[in-house]
This record gives sequence, structure tokens and C-alpha cells, in this order.
Amino acid sequence: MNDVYVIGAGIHPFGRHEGKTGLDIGVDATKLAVKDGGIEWGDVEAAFGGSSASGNADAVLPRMGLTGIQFINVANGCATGGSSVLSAYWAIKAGEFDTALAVGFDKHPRGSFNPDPVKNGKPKWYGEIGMMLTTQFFAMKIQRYMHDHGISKESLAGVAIKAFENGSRTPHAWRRTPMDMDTVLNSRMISDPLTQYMFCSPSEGGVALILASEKKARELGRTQVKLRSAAFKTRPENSFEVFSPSLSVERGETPTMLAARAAFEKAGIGPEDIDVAQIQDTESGAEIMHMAENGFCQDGDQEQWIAEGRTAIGGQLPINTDGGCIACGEPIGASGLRQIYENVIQLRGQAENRQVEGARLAYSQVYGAPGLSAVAILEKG
Amino acid sequence: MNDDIFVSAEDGKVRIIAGRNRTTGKVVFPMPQGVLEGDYERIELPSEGTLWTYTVQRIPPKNPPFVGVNSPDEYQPFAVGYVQLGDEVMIEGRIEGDPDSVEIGMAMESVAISFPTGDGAEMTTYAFAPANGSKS
Repeated sequence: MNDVYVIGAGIHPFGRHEGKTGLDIGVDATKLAVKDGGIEWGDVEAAFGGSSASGNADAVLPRMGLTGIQFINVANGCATGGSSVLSAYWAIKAGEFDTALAVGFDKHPRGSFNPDPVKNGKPKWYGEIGMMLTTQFFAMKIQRYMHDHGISKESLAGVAIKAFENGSRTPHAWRRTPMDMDTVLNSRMISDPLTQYMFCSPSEGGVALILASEKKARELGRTQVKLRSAAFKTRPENSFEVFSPSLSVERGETPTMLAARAAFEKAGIGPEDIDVAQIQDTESGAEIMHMAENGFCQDGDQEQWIAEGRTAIGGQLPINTDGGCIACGEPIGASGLRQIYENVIQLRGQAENRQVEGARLAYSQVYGAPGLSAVAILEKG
Repeated sequence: MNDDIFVSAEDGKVRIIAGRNRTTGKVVFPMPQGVLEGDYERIELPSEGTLWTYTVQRIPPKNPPFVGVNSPDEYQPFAVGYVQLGDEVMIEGRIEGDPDSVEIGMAMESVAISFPTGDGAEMTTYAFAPANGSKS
């Protein structure tokens, strides 16, 4: 099997961009990634990409050049970007291609998402009575978790405060103004216990990555970042997932636990070896629960970790160093790729005032409906 | 709402209808319809249970899919939660009454409620209400 390297990374800033389509954003990111990789568009042999609200991602082809390459459109909820990069990884690892593009972009309308119950395999009444909201699921999951493991609302706010602080240092972030505890706690309650500033918002953005085989990366002299392992898992029996009219009383593991375990096993390392992590923070509670689900701490330890600043830049394990979804917003097709982009920048030592000193192993985990999780571990070459 | 979601019981309560998988024994709600129906035995869940978790829908859900009144001036926030009914399953539903007095662990009972829709009609659904005299 071939080792796989990330040789190029391009991002279009997240946020709101009047006058630009989602596709424009995706094309900009792709051009930047190709240039960053030191190759020409004609050198790209395969592509995987996704967009939730901006059409098929393969619409970048006429704008980049119709070279006849394979392009597979990917749709996997909030884990679309993570799924694209994993597809490119496996294609190169299998020896089929020497270079591949993973691209994701999106442009969502303002306000919360309003999915259709029937398209999600749920009865129509489930939406009619007001339960077809992802925000309710995230709120109910953290509400129970807080009850079971003694997590305070100040810790929820702490995650958001860190996100905006990191976002203020990140050129590609959307929300770049630091916020204090009172502002976060006293912002509009959306779904108890989560307030407005604890949630990410649908936004716009695009990211592209160029992956290459070891042979190609060496030829180009671009072996700074290796993709050490990746894993993708869907929900097991008895996991608490979004849009569930009923749950078994028996509580099981989550897709994130399975994906984390598999990725660490393949890499031959453990959570204690990770220097920087980007984990799914759809809202503050998700970051807290994912800290434990990914194996970085025990359930309940987050209270102390956050109070001591262990997840801040300069702490023991900096988490979501670019502000995560909370500060960058959520363009569905691009989010998982943004996490990997940020890890590439960290491992190259190009993160300026948000740089994690000495970062060698970088972890990313993206989670999406209806219950899937993708993990990638990068290593400094 | 489909008639096969709940049936009336004594004291104004309702019994929610679920399905027990004939092979695995696992209980699911709602009772599967169509090609899956034959794999499930129709069962009526107990009317009383305990609240496992909840939230409050503070902002108006979008229409579609929500049919309730959702204009910013008239919208009434409501609680939603999972109530354990019996030993095997928890059911997600709206919670009647003051959303600010809801707590994990409260004794709850299944009821039917009607709420006004945005087009001036009414929609009836199952829901949960704090059991008589219950605080937690």
C-alpha cells in the first residue's frame, strides 16, 4: 500500500460573500490548492467533491478545464467534506492514482436548516408538530450529558469563547470578534441549554486539498504532511442520533467512538500522542462530548480541562484552533475539509499567531446526520 | 395524524402504539408501515413514564415542515423530550405546560393535545404532561 501525502491546500474564506455563487467559491479554492501543490490542473488524475446546497461539485470541471478526469460527487450530510478526502485517500493508497483532488463548497440561506421529514425516512407528522430540528437533538444530547457527568453551562460558554478567540486569529474564519462569558450566556436562548453564540450557523465557504502518492510527493519535494490514517464509521445499534422518534433504553457506542478507535489503531498511536485536534463543534456541547468520544479525556473531565484552558492554543491539547464551526460557520460540503486544511497549516508551521508549537500529529473528526463520523490523522513529514 | 400513533386510555391519557420486532424483540416507534409491518407486533406502551432528557424550542421552527403558528409575535415556545415508557423504549414528544418547569427525571404521562396551525385549523398529536403533582 502507498503512503499518502497532502501536497496542496486551498481555502476560500468562510462567511457571507455577496455576488459570489457557491461554485465560484469552490473554483477559487481549487485553483489555490493546485497552485499550492506545485502542480498544474492537468496533473490532477482523480477528483472527489461535494456540495449540499450549491449543485453538483463536478461543476468545477468546466471552470478548471475539461481534462476528462474521473469526478465522483459525494453527499454525506455534514461529513461530506470528510468523505471526499477519505475517498481520495483510499484511491491513492490503493495505487490507482498518483494525485487526487478533494473539494467541497457551499452557500446556504440564512437561518437554521429545515430538512424534509419524508426525505429523511420519517413520517410527515414528525415535522408538522415541530420535532424535525437538528438543534433539538444536539440540545437534548448535551442536556442529558450535563446531567450525567456534571458539565456546567459555563463550560458550554467556555467552548464558544475559545472558538471566537481562535477565530479572531484566523484569516479564513467568519466570526472574528472575541466574546466574553456574559455575552455568550446571555445571548438568545435557541434550544436549552444552548444559546445563539454556542451554535454554529449555516454559512458559505470552500476548501480543496490535493493528495498525492509518496512517489509523486517525493518527486515534487512536497512531503511536509503525511496522511497517517483515516477511518469512517456509521452509527452502531443504540447510538443516540438525530431525528429518532424512539430510542432504546439501552445506550450504546457512537459512530465517533468507532471511527476514532479505528483511526488510532491503524496509525498505531493513541489519543495522548495527538498535538492538535479539530473536532466537530456543531455547537459547544458537541465539542465537549466529542472530546470524550474521540478518547481525549474521560466523561466529565471536560469541566476541568476547559476551566484550566487545556484546549486553548498553548494548552495541553489545543482543539479547533481556527475557531471550528462555531467561528467559521457551517458550509456542509466544506467543513470536514476545513479541519484538514487547518491541520495542514499547523503541521507546516504556517499558522502564525494561532500556531501550536512543535505540532507533529494532528487529528480531525467530522460528524454528520444521520449518524456518521470520519477521522483523519495527519503527521508532519 | 395517523390513527395508529396512539389510542385513548382512561383519565384522558393515551397509549402510544409501538412495534416489537418479531425476530429481535426490539421495540420501535412509530409502528412500521408498509412492507415492514409484518415483521412487527403492534403493542400499546404504558401511559406513565420518566423524562430522560428535554430541550425547549425557543425559536419558531420553519414552515415547512412545521404547521403550528410560527410568526415571531404569536409563536409559543414548547418543550420536547424523551420519556421512558416501560422497560425498553423512550419516545420523543412535545411536553405540555410551562417549558421552564421541566426537569430530567420528572414523572410524565402520555396525553393528546391540539395546537392551532398557521392556517387557522388545529392539529392533534400525542404529547407528554407532568404526572399529577409531579415536580421531579
